Amino acid sequence: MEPSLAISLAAAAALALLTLWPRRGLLARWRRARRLAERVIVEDALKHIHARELRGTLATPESLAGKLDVGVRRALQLISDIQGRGLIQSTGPGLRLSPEGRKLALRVIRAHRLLERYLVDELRMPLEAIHATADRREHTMTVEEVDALEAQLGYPQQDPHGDPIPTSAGTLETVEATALSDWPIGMPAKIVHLEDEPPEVMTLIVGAGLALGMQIEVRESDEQRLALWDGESERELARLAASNVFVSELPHPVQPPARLSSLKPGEAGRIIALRCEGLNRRRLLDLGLTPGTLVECAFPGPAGEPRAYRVRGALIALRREQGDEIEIEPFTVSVEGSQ
Amino acid sequence: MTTTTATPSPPEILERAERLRRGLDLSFRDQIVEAIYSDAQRIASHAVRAKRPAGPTWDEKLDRILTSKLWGFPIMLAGLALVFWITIIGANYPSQAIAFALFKIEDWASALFNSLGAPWWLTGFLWHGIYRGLAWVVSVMLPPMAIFFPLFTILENLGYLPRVAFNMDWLFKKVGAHGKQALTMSMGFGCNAAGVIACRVIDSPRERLIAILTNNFVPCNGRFPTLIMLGIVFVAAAFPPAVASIAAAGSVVGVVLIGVFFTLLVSWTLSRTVLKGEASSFTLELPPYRRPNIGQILYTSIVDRTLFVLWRAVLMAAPAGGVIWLLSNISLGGDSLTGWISGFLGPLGHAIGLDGVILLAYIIAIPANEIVVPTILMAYTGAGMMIEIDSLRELQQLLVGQEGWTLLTAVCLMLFSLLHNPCSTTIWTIYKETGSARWTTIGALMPLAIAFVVCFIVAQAARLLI
Amino acid sequence: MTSKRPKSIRERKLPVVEPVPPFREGLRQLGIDTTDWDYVVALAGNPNTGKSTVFNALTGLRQHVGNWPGKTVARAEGGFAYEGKKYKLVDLPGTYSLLSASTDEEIARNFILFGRPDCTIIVMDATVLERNLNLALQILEITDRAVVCLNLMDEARRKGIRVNHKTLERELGVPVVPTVARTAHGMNELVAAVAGVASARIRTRPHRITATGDTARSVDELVALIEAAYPGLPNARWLAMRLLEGDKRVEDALRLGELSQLAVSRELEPAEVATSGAAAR
Repeated sequence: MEPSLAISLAAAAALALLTLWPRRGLLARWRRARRLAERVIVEDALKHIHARELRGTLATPESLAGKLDVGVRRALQLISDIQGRGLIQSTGPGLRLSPEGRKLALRVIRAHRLLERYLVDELRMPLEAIHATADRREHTMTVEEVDALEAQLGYPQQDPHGDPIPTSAGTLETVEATALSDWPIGMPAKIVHLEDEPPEVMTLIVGAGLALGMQIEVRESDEQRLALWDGESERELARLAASNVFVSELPHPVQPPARLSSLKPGEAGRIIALRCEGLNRRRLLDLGLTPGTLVECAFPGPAGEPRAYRVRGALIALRREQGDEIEIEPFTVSVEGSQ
Repeated sequence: MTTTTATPSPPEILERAERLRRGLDLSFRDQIVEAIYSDAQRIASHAVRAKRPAGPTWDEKLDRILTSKLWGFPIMLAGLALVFWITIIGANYPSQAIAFALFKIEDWASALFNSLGAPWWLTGFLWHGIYRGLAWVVSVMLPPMAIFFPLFTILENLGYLPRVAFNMDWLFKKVGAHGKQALTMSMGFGCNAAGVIACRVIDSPRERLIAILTNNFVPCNGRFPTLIMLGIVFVAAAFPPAVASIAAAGSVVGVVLIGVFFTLLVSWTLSRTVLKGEASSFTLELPPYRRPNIGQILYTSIVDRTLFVLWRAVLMAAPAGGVIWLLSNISLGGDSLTGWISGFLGPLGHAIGLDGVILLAYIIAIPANEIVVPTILMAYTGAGMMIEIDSLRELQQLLVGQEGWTLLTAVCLMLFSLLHNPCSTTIWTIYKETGSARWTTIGALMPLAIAFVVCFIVAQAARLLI
Repeated sequence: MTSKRPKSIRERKLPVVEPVPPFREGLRQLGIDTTDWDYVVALAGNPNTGKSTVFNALTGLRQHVGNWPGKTVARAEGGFAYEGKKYKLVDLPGTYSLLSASTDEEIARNFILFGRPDCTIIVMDATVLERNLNLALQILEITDRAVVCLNLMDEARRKGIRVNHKTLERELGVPVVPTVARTAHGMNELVAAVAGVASARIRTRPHRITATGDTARSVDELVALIEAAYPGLPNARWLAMRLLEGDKRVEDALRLGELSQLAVSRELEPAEVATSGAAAR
């Protein structure tokens, strides 16, 4: 009997330790997971209410239940819970955020958009895959961590879809934009925002070769599709997808996009603008690729890519993707002659 | 100025900065960088008078050739082969001479000990154990390193390595990695631990991790002696003497290319599975070519690299020599410990084309890959067999004639040496650089697993076909 | 045996044999001996400017020299003596800028700002001056105790590039010494300039970046505030720009009172700075 008693005592002790160990025990883990789950559902609810406010159609318990994938009863319970904490206003038919609630919602949105920026810029995840990851991790970050991330990314102003990132002070710029499906034919426009949900539509948009900052003009449109002109070639976009592309007015006619990557060896150009954000932008600027700089394409690599460019006397190799991010105006006089 | 207090407190300053920032145009960060560059441009235009030469400069001509579609890759390969060829040719005779001298000393010293009446185990442990380990390391490693490092340093100082990275970037882009990985790989030729540290030049954390985890597939100088010895003993021996050294160099280049292939394959796999993502931004400066300073190169590469690496190997080889001697001379039930352990590892070794002694040597050599070959030789000759191996021909006789090595053994050993786990220093460096026990474990075990699988496939296929 | 050998290997790294370049009176290389220094000197510059060669020429050490970006990844230290004073030379990672916040840039910037070197040598490649000025101008915003080492003058000449170091000196407001570090040309002049700046015998008036418009106004407003709080700070303008950008490290330094220390050190005599610094370490 003695040994078996000792063994069971030891097992009981081990089990107790495993369960009750502070911070790492099962109990502590379970508590943490519950706290996180609660935080997730509250923050997601606030995000939904905020999004509806922006759109102008206020959220309802039903819409909330649909968004969070819970029953209406649970949604109502959640609403009264949030209301109890003073995060939403108690008046009116629809749900409206209180100032406190808006602050919290913007904090989550800020974390989300910065995370997306990080996932695209630093981890190079494909555009359609980042939303889910950011959705998960936005709830686990502290305010300080989000601030640190912003600093690390070099203070980007937009997320990869073109949405503005709320500042640490809690201000959010609003983008004046019209859906491409409502845009008049023949009027030059600039793409300012791409809606990333649902991902299937986003795939269509990316597949049509549309990107943020692009200059386009609608040539023709019918029930099914739109014919777009980017100054160089014609592109087709399904009408369904066009309502997820947002544009604003362009003060001049659509110009063919001249990019650094389009220069052939021996040709030169002057930089007009950088079409990237955050760290990528900072790195290019630090290499001396500032607007107004004269750049000459020196020679391509054995495989045609990357290419070496002469910038301010130095030789810098860039891949096609970096070259695409740099908008130039072709410089006709040869560089040799100008120096 | 609205300040009322004489000395503003830190929170006040921060608050003001925050307020001012909000009032600024969002592009003010760009403006600061642009302001710096426009000042730089102005100052440079005042201080610099450059007359641009009529034709293309020497640098430009060199770049055209070294990065051309036609010549870029052949020149890279030829350069690598040339470096190995010179190393192999040049290292042969000094190696023999050093080995001859050092083993003579062992004979004299052990004879002296015996005549003084020292117990046999003391003579054996000191001279046939520790000293012999040292003698092997010095004679096998010193000459190739003293030739290889200066040659490699010349390429480095010339400014050729960034061109290699430039030429190879498209491959790394295809596998979702960073072109500067080629630079870290070049560093890995010297030492994998240094290569892992050099991965800091890659900004993207994902791509840096890929570069760290795959750096091991570049054979470091600790493993080159193994490859070069095998190249000479097995590959060169199969060819007529006139082309023997070229064949040996070719085989080492082949091994390096296999290493590059596995680097790309593993990078590709990683960036499609656990480290999912597309290739990130790539910017690389191609510095002007510089005339190498030969005196400085000789000094740096011999003192800083050769002696440093040799010293590390010596530190590891001395205890390893002692351990092997003990294992070979402590008998248990009629067989030495070496016999027992290698017998136990034998079936596993055989399955992957090696034998038990080689696996034992790899286990003993985890602290430093340099001592693998010496340990194998010690284990083969250690059990009291007094064979003098002072030339590579005799080495071949020992391995082929006595221990039954075949070309398959040599090929599998080359592959195993190329692919197996990094040495303990590199593992520790991976831990320090990644700060993660998980990635360190992967970095250590993944190559080992790949080595076993590849050698197993090669061995089994060869046995089936031949 | 094992206890004695490592020493002799290490001794080989010292210039026991003889320093290779022939030096005139004055500079004495001290190798890795950095004890009891009077002044700390930082060595900064773009990658590939011959920074390691300058380091080796000054200390007699043999730091590894390679011609590719990002080669110096660890921080190296060495020592030299000049006119009875001992100097500790700290080789910072080679960077193109101090703004992108990569690990290397962080290390370099933090050392120049918080390490309070008595002098910072900015090594510049004479063949691509404009590009090198980016870093130099940023360093001059942080510290006014700097000397420019205009290296690779021989390469520049070979390429038909003429750099007027006097003009550059006037523009930058700090001593500019043309050198060929590979053959140790100009090293004595460099050390003399470093000694002058470190001991405050040479007064510098570093170039300041010209900001425009709203940015300039905001910077000025913040500078006034910082200078009121920390009189004597040598880099109030740079700190103001960093605070405007929202630099976390600088914000922390402000909160924790590190900035007041930066201000204090300027008011001491150079000799006192050195001794108080030595005691603190």
